[in-house]
Amino acid sequence: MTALALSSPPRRRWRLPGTATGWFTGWFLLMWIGVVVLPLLIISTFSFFSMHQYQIVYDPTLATWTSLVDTGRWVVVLRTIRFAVSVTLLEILVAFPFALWLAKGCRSAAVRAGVITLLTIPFFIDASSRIIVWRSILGTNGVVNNLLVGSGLIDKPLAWLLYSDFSVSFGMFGSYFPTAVFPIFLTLSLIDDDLIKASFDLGASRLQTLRHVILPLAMPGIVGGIVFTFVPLMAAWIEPQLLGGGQVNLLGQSIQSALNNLNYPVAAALSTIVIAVLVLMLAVLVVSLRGRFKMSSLFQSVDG
Amino acid sequence: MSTVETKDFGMNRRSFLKSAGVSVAFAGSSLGFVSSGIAQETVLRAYGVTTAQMDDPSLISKATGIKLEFTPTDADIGVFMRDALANDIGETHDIMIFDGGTQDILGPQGFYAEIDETNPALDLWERTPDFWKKSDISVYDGKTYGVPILGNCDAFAYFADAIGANPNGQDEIPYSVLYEDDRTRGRVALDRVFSQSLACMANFLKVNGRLQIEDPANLTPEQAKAVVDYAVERKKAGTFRTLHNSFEEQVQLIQSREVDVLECWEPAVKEAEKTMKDEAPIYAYAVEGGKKWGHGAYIPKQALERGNGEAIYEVLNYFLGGEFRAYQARDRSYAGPNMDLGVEYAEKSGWSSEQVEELRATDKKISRKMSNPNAFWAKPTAPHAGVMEQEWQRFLSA
Amino acid sequence: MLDRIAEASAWNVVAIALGTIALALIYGPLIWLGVMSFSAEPLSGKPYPLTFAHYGMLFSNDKWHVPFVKSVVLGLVVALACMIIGTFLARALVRLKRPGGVLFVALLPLFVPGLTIGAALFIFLRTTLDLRLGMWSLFIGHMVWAFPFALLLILIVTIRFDVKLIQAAEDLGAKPLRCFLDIELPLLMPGISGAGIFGFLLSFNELLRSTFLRGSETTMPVYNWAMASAQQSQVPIVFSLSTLILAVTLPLMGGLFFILFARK
Repeated sequence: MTALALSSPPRRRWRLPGTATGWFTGWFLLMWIGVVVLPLLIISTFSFFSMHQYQIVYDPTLATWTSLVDTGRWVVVLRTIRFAVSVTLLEILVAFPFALWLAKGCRSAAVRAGVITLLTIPFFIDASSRIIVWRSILGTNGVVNNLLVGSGLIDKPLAWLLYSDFSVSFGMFGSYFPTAVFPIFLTLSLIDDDLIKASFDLGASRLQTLRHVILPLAMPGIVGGIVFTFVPLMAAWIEPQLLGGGQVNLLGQSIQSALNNLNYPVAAALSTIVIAVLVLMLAVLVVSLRGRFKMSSLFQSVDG
Repeated sequence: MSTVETKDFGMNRRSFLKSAGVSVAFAGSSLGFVSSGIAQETVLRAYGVTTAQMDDPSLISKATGIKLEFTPTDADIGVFMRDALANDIGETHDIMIFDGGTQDILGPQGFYAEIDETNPALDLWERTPDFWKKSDISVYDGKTYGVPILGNCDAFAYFADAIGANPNGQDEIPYSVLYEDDRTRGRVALDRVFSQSLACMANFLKVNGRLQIEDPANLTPEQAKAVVDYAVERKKAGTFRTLHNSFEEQVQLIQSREVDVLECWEPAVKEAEKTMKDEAPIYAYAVEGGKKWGHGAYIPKQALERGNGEAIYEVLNYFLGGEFRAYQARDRSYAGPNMDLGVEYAEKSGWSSEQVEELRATDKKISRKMSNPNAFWAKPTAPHAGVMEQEWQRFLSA
Repeated sequence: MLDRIAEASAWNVVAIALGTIALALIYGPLIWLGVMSFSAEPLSGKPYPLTFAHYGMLFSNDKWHVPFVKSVVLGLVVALACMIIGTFLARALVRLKRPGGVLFVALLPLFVPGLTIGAALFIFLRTTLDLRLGMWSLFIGHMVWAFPFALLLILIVTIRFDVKLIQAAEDLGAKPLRCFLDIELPLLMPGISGAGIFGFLLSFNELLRSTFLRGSETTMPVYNWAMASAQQSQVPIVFSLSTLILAVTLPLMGGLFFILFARK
């Protein structure tokens, strides 16, 4: 019966049950503009005002923008982008094979459930206490240095293990690994096993199957993984704060410091830069993928 | 003692269950918590830093008959000023507790009420030394806005063996061990907050005659730039191991001996002493004095309009009294006005002679530090704070 | 058959090795944290001497109870809202001719640092609209944070959802609601439950926006943040609490995921 119904080509346009598409989307847009777009527009105008004694002086000025250069806050933006890009790349490189194994290679359902659990649990734990622990592991008198010195591999503790670019990237890697794996795993597990089987049956090698079947289908997940990782990394705050030890000053801290002093204009200007960078990145991502993977078609494919 | 604790625990459990019930109700109905106050005792609400919160809040209820509900906040001046100026905290709270200096802005602008020094409930005011009640914690422009509740003179902690100092801790140590001492290079930690580290560095340069500075806590743009230039130079020379940001970090740096000297709060040393005993570092008497600061309790104007004045003054008076003083000194090693009452209280309440002796020592120690002519008062709301923050970013980014 | 892609191959070994290392990086500190919660000097990195004192302190101290409950309840409400709104919007998005604009607006908060969203909402709700902040504004702040993630997770499954299934069911005479409940919803469930879990977790640990939008409410992360200025160590308590949460949630979540992903 089902097969029969499926085989008769449905001509009429498919209708949503219950909730119509239009009014819900409209309602949502209205709400979202109210709580996101409007507040952001208001605060971004603050970058053209100044503060005096913790109160805003509504006199248009470019002082905030020029000060970004003098105070080196501009350098912080570049440094933050560098960190976000490199850590995101690393995450995806590690997360993809792992997600593939988890979705398709792992044969025990219990193991799979177990691994997903392990990936989710860290979010329950207060992030700063998770990160604080690294300091007692990586410090000059920490576990790693004690082991290395004790085993005679080195004779002086390695100082760069902590309060360095290394320790910050290291802390970030652990924190954002689950967010990279999750979306990739979801798309991979939705790929029909028969497709992969068909690819093999047609004589494709593993690598060919990966490149021409799995990778394109997994693309939404990979993009999701990149977004989930890169975006929070741009505003990462706990890792540089707790593992950077003042040697690694990133954007999140710079904004935090401005707001500590109730300096809305600087926070607004820095945030505007972040938003611009991220939107630019997204645009590049979409444009470069459009040619190859037809991202937009994914959203319309259900019409037929 | 143990019966009291059991009883408390029972009450806590009930209030926990009650709040759980309220919360479930919240989930189902509206987005707003019903405040769960028991009508019998007077309830006041305080907003402020958690230093003033007693470990055992029932003590204050027993002493005054007033239940003080505490909305905690961090020592972050921006959050506090925002809540005071824009969030109308005074509409919902009766006492505000923060670093002295906020009255410079919130007093003249009419957010804080002036303290009525003749209020009969404030009977300890008369005997409170001028050092406290006429300090930067309480007074601005000749008017009294706050009741001083505790204070200290912040400097740094050092491991005596690292700098060859006398382990009895009575030596005056120069700040140069933090900034330009080859014995400690690369094993120094500073505070990340500019109002602490930048100000202390400015004071060091001022006292040693290297820069012309009037007020280290309120640097002019030129002065701030000169001090940060020095800071950047020292950073490039590899002086600093890390900048810390929280109490926990201070304790951790000490306990793991990641550094030899660090700018920190005295309670961090106190905390380390609990387990490190004799190996704990010493909190310095600095040659350059250090940063004098204190927390004050202030009355938002609206609280008086609500008619809570009577109860508020009862609580303020409690902050000046012996019980509060004794516990603050015991738990955090902070002093404050009327330590003699603290000693009296401890003796009457059967504290060990060792503990009583420690209270006296705390008083003596802080008097010695506070009277160092090189020490300067903190100014959290310094008019030049904005410039200092911006310059400090240059140091952080270097 | 599928195992062919992975079975006994170098790929498999590499994938498992990399994943294990990553998991070890996450769990190393957590296990260490558990060990340290029994240490007399939790910040020193020395596990000995062992003590139960911190757990005693945790149970005798009741100040964290109310913030904890508030965080849990708020997290649950945010999770529920994320699941419902996310499902409807994701279903709507895949059926729109040009979803790009709506999607961009929905995901916009992802691109804004948390502190900025917090400050922006504070200025808008408190200064511009003159509203008194409280749990409701925390809810809005947490939604703005959690919803884009939730939406993306659901979108990933709705994109792949085969509409032919619904058409088939409709042709067989099923009512729209039945189609939705019996066919669509079960297939979307991994994404929706993922959205719920992420919604809860993101809300439960949210601090940056909360410091702006709390009014005078105190959630668990706000409590920890404020206690950092108490100048008395909270770490023993925080470590013990984290260890307890871990001990409770690990089997609970394990069971949930087993039901969701393992049972076919």
